[in-house]
Amino acid sequence: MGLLHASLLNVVPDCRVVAVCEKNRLIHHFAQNILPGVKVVSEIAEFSGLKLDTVCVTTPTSTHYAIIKAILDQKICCNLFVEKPLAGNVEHSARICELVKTTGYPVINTVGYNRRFNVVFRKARELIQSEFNGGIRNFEGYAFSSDFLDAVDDTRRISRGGVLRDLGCHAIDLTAWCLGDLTYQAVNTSQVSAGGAIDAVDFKVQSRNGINGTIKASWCASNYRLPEIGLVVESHQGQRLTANDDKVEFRDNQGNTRTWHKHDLGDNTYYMLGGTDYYREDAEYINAVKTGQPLEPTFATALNVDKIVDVVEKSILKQIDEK
Amino acid sequence: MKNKLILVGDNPFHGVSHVSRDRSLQRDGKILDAKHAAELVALSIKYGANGFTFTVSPTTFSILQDIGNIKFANNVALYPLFPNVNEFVRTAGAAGGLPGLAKDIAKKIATTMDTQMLGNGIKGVIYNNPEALFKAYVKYEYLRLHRIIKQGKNLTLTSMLLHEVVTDMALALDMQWLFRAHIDLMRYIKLKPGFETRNLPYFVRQFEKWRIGFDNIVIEAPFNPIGFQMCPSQADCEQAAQTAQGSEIIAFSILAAGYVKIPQAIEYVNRLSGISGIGVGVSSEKQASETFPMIKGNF
Repeated sequence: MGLLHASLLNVVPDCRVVAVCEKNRLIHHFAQNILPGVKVVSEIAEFSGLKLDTVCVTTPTSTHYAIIKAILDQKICCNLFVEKPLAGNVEHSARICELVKTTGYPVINTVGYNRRFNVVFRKARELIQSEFNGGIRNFEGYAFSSDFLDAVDDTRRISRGGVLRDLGCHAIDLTAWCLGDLTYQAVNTSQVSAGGAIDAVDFKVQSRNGINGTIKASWCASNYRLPEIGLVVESHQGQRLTANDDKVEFRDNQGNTRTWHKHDLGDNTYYMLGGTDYYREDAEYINAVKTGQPLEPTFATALNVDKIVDVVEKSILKQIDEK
Repeated sequence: MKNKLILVGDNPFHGVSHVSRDRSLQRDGKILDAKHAAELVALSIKYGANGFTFTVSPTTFSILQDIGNIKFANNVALYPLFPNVNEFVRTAGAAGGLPGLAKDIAKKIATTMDTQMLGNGIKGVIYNNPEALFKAYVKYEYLRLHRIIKQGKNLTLTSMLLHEVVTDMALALDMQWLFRAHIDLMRYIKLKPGFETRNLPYFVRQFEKWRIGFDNIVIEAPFNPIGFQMCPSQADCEQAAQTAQGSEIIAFSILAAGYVKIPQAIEYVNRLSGISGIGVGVSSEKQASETFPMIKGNF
C-alpha cells in the first residue's frame, strides 16, 4: 500500500513525495537507489525538519498507534492519512482520537476506506438518500474474498488480524456511510481458524433510525478472484438496491430496474493505479490538506468501525469460551 | 501495408470479467482449465488472430506448451506481460512483505543456473544495484519463456512487456532508470521493448521528458469508443497515441469490458491513427468464431 500511495501522491497536482521511512535494511538501501530525489530514512524522527505537509501511514495496522503518536509528539506534520483500519485495537484508536480532541492535531485526519471514493458506491449512497424516503425495511453489507479458501497456514490470517479487521471493516464503514451510524446487536454465525483468527462472520446491527440489518464477511468464500464489497438495501415499498465495486442496480416500487456500471458514472481519473478509487482518495485528501476542509472518514468516524469490530470479536470469543 | 496485429488475450482464462463479477462467477470452471484455454487460443488463431498476449503464469505457460504442438499456417507473435503481479502480491503476503518477495525471486533466479544472470543477481544484491537485479529478473523470465517457446512450431517471442502495475508505479515515481534498463536489455536480446500502461498520456509525457525515443517500443493501452479506463480522458489518450509516433501501440479493453459490441469497437479503433494492433479475450468457441473473423475482415 505504501508504494501505491507514494506513486499516486507523486502524480497528484501540486504534491510531491519527498521522504519515505523504511525500517527493513534491504528495502531501505534499495529504496535509496530506486527512488530519485526522495529522502529515505529509517526512523520517523528523521522526518523532523523536512517541513512536511502530511504523512501517510501505510504500515501494518499493529504499528499505527506508535507511529501516529510519534508523529504527533514530535510535531512532524499537521495532517495525517492512515490506511484502514485506524489502529490495531479499539483502545489505541480511542487514544488517538482523544489526542486529536485535546491537541487539535492532526488538523486533517483521514482513514483510507477507499470504497467511499468509488463512483458506484457514491451513486448507491445518492440513490439511498433520494429514493428510499418511504423507509428502509432491512439492509446487508458484505465483504467476501477467496484469500484463505484452501489455505491451512494460520500465520498470515493472524498477521492480517482476521477477516473483520482486514476486509469486513470496509463493509461496516460503507454501510454506516450510506445508512448512518451502526450499533452492534448480535452475532448470527462465525467461523474461527485453529489459530484464533476470524475467517467468517455474520452479525446483526441496527442503524441510527432503528432499522435492523446484517453485516457479513468471509475470506474463505468461493469464486472471488478479487475481494468484493457490497451493499443490499430494501424498502417497505418494494424498492431494492444492490451495489458492488462494479455496478449499482435499483428496482423501484413498480418493479422497474435500472443499472449503472462504472462506465456510466464518469469513472475516469487523472491517473489510474489499482483502479480509480485510490487516486480519487489521495487527490481529495491532498485537496483537504490544501483547503483545510476535513475529509471523511475522519479518525473519529473510523473509531466507530473499530468499536463494532471490537465488540463482534469479543462476542465471538465469549461464544467460544462458553462452548 | 504492414499486417495489423490481432492478439488473443488471456484475461478470461484467469476468470476476469471487468464489467461484472456476476459474469465471472457464472462462467463454468472450464474456461479456467489450461487445456481448454489452449484450445480457445488455437481456435482464435485459426479464425484470424495472429498473436497471443498474456501474463506469465503457470496457466499461460501450459497454454504455450499446448499451442506449441500445433502447426499453424503463419507464425504466432507472442507478447507476454511480466511480472505476474497477482502472484507477487500473494508471495509477498505469504513471505512477510517485500523482503520475503525479494528472497523468493532471488531463489528462483539462482535455480535457473545461468552464470550471467546469477552474476547480475549477485551484483544487484551486493552492490545494492537495482538495475542489475532487475535485469537478472527479466532474463530469468526470458529464459523461462524461451525454454517453452523453442519447443513450439510457430511461436515467435516478439516483445516482453512490463506489466501495467510496475509500469505505472515506475512512471509515477519518476524511475527513468527502470525504463532505460528494460529497453537496453530487450534490444540486447533482440526483442521489442514493451510496456503496458493505463496512463498513456502520462507515459508519453515522461518519455518526452526523459528523451527516450518511441521507435519500436511496444505499448499496450486501453482504447474504446466510450473512453472507459482511458485516463485522464479519451481525447488525451487519442492525442498521446498520435504523439508516440514510431511506437507499436496495441489497444486493449476495446470492448470496454463487454460494454460495447465488436463492430462499434473496430470502427472506433480504425478511426485512430497510431494504433497498430488490438488485443481481445474470448471465453468460448462461439465467441472466438464470431470475434476474430469480424476483426480480421474489418481492422
